[in-house]
Amino acid sequence: MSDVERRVGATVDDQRVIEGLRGGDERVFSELVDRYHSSLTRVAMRYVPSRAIAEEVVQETWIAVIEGIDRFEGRSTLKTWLYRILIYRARARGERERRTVPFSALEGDDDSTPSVPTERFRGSDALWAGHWATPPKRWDGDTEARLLAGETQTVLSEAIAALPEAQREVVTLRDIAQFTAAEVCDLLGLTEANQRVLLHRGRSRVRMALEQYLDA
Amino acid sequence: MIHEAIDCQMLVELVTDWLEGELPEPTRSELELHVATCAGCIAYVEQMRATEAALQRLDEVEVAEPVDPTTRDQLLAIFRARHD
Repeated sequence: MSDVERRVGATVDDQRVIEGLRGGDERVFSELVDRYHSSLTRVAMRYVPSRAIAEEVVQETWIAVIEGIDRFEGRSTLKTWLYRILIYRARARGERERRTVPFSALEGDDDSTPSVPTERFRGSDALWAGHWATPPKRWDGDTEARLLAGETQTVLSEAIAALPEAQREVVTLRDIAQFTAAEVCDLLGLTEANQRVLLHRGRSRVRMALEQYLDA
Repeated sequence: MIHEAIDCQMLVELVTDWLEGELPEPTRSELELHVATCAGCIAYVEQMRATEAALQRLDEVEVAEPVDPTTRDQLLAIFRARHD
């Protein structure tokens, strides 16, 4: 089954919202803003260098929603459509702000770095080859408390910012905006397998950054 | 020494597929057998879970405030103008 076939169209609640928006019902628009504004801002912040720019991108997104709702065909859910507009704009804005090489969307993630450096495992000629030489430590109650206290926020934010673009995008949508795997595939046009590879590499790198910080 | 189908170095590459419930058999059973007996991998899986949870919480800590009233008014004005 292809990803296109698996896509979910507009829901019943979406129909109500779409009709409300088309009919100019302010309460419906207001509800939608309350539901998504904060989350859209958080996602946008992963693409652009500042909160202020992220807010501009979200504002542009809402305007695009207001202007484009008549043309929305309901082939995806409203939520997916909303984030697709946001991501398109946030990517473009992020590129402009960075003035770096244009980012190659999702086709190229040739990251072949192992999830854990090879030297932490026993070599192939050793007894117990492939087993931990330097195993990770259990994160005890104190460590968990440090994670909870938000002490690690900066470490996490920096680790996410340092991820290759495609990994950052998937980690942001899955873990931060809490989309399901199927939604992320639909949103970014990824196969399920590809989505998992990117999620895996991204989360593995973030784990490594946390381990380095917490064990230091 | 027993030859294991899954070693630690393999586990760290398969862990996300496993946590996502997408690891096919027999690999899944082999991985679970390995995790059950390997302290290093138990710690590793816990760290991956803790990482995921920390990422999810990051969001709540960062910006969990309601929509700024000025922003909301601006957006509503744009919406109204479109439908007048």
